[in-house]
Amino acid sequence: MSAASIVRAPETLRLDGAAPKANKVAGWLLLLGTLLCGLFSFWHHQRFWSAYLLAFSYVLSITLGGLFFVIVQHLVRAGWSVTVRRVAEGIAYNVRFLPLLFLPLLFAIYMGYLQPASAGHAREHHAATAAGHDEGAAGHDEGAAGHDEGAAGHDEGAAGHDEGAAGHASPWVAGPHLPKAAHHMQPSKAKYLSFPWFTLRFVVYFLLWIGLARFFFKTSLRQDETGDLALTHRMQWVAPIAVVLFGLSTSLAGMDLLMALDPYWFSTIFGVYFFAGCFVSFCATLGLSLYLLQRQGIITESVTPEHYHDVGKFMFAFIVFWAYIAYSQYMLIWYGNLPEETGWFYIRQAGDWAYVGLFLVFGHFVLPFLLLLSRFPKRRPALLALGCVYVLAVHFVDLFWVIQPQKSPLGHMPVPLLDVSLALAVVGLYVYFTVSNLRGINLIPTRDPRLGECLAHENY
Amino acid sequence: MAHATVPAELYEDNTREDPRHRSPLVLGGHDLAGISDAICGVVERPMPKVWYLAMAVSLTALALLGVCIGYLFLTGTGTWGLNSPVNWGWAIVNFVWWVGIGHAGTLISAILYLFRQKWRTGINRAAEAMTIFAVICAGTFPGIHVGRVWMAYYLAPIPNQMDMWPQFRSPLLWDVFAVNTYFTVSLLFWYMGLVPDLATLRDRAKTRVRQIAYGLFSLGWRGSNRAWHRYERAYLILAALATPLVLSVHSVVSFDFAVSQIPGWHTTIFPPYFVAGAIFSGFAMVLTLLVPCRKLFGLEDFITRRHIENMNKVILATGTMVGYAYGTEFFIAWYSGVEVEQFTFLARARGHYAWAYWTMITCNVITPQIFWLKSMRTNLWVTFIASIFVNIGMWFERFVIIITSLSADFLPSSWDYYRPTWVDVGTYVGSLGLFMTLFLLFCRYLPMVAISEVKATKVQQEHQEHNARVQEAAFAAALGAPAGGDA
Repeated sequence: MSAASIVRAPETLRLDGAAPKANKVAGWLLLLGTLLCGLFSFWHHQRFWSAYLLAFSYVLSITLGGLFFVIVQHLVRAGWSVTVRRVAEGIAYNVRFLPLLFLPLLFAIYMGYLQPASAGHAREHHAATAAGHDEGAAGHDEGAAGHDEGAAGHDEGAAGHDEGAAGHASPWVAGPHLPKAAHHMQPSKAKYLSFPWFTLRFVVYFLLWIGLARFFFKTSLRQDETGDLALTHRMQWVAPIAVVLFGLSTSLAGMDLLMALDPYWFSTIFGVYFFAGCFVSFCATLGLSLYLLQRQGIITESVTPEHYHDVGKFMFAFIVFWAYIAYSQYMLIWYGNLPEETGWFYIRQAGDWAYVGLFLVFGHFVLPFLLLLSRFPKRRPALLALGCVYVLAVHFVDLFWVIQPQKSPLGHMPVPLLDVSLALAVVGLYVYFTVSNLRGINLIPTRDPRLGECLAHENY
Repeated sequence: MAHATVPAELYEDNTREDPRHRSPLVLGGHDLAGISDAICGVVERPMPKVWYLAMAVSLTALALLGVCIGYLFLTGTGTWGLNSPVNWGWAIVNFVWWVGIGHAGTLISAILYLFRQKWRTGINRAAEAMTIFAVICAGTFPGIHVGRVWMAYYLAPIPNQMDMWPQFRSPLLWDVFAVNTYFTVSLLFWYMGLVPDLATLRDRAKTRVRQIAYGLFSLGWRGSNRAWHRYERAYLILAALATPLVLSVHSVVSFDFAVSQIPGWHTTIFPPYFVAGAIFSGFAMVLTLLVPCRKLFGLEDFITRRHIENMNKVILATGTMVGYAYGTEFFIAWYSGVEVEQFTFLARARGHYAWAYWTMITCNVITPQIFWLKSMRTNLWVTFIASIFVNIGMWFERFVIIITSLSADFLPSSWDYYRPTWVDVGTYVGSLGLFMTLFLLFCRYLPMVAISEVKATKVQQEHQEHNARVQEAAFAAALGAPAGGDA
């Protein structure tokens, strides 16, 4: 077989033709989301900021997953992924827009809009009834629900006028709302969680993430023009340092953004849990993006079922990884049964939240595990894309389950209309960001030294 | 055409980075028959003198194990250094250490297989063998640690007329299941990989005894197309089954500690942290064994510097993960505001066992950092010494976790300092003897490198190199075509 014996069909390498269409979709999502959000805010306005935190965490997690994917491809000198890497680089580079989305959140935190409705009460209640007599818990719950409704009403009234509270203990829980246990919080930790330090850390995280995403994106783009091998060497040189910085910053950011919603709760694995969600949701985004691009007649030759297969394998593997981490966290806290740790799960098992938790067990693990186990769906782009949409949906439920119990009355699961509509609007913006990163460039690194290996890639 | 496109300088030094090509994993210009000759030759020739010397030392240590266990059985666990708060001593430290070491083999053969890391073929056979021997050593300790050894069968849920069962809620029982499953699957995986190579040895055997022995264990393997096809399918399925086991075993071992409420034990990061530590120590042991073996048995063309470098990268990565876990534990101890937790971690770094803690940090976190430098990763002496440091460090990790947390528990009046006795030390050294004896026997009688897999890798690599060049040319041609992309 000689080189001349393979003839490749020409393909479109650029998004440009399809970009207006994608932006139109983004615009509609934004419009629809905003309208619905406005509508639902009539009933749920007190939950607006926690829904916003959810939408922000959602796009942040996808972006960070993308950054990790890009770094790791260089870290391990991967060959199979060359033709899917540019799209990943573009998604990761969205991190440069995320500070814009973070600013409103920071404002809300500063104003004290994000205080818990009843998490503190739930904790007090739980501390009183802890020590593991589960039998009695059902009866207690009813009483607690009644108690908490009252508490919620109280909190609503209090939510708006708390300017002075910011910066006391935690950006999430401002002064007057601290439960009694707050008096035991060590001053150094209160300072760590205070608004200025929280903000400072996020400035550092964002600078780091933007720097890394920009470096890998721009260097890879430069190689499209020069074909210089030294650029590959440079990316490979930076990758191990990048992965260390990424690991530290992402796990700390996950703790700051989500774990500190309950400033008294702690779990050493939480950073890993956040990371697992990031990578799963990114794999789903990548699979879906590739499918949508190919539907528009772009990169139709260079991305083959072999590449979908590998993206699907990663998604499968990290769904299992997510389940492993989630199980480790739950099982150890359940078994140890220490009141300072069980509170977090206690409010997530109260009332309707228990069904959300069960849904995660089956919906975020068992079902996708069974569906993605076989080669069949992984090698069929349309089927895999469907799976990706599903995984993106359950990842949203996961974040909803992490964030909202902290911000709702005990045992009360809000109907997530506001959360979903706000997320639609933010995802609309996110699509727009992604298109603006990816337009005007080749969607595969045309002069990457491992391109040939990637095109010849076959699974066995 | 064999070397048609891979540049010659990569054959001279395969640790060189050239992103256009994959470095060759078989050096020395062996053809397929040459690979068989070189690897089978190790077991067909007489063993070098060093082997006999090593065997003598190992057998002496093994005898010491026998003496210590015999003394223990006759006298009781009072011969160990256990005291009232420290009821778990060296036995469980050694158990966890050995189980951890037993992780590299299956990781290499299963997970690296799924990740298509072809360099695994040079080292997987020896690593899997080591895994099995390490798990045997690990299994010794729970077996002998029960005071009344005639009741050792209580470890497993065996139906009995007394209707007595172990506590199913205890992770110690889960350990029995986890370790036994892991051992069984690892053994099957190892043996299945061996079958074609045993057939090669059978076909080359000159003596009747060898013909019969290798013939028996090669299960009538004829190397037919159909047999190979089924073999490959089975291998893939076993790899997929073994992958979760690599994670589950040490996760369950970590539950032994993490489900309790002992400060320093009860923390949610334990399962992934233990798995990372296990892979870390397993790779270190593989390096400790293979760096001398490749030289001694002339296997440098198959276990190349590239293999060594890759393993050092895994050591760096997992060592850093372990460092991350240490850091997170400290951070959360402070963050949680739980005073006993803070006390325990400060006591580790500054208390009576600070010497053990800093040995652990030095060996596990600081030592692997030298592998950021390529010159260190490819230096055999540095690799060998660092791998021993890691082995020591990982032993001390378990010592620090188990002993420091127990010796200063919730009741200060019962605090005590733990000191091992000569029986503790003798049993540990003896287990090393058991391990080395088994490994030396493996070197003597079985092919240390997976012959058929190395051959397949060599052919596949050449094939893929060719395909990559063809695709590259076709891509360039399509790009240049008038109707092509607007790049």
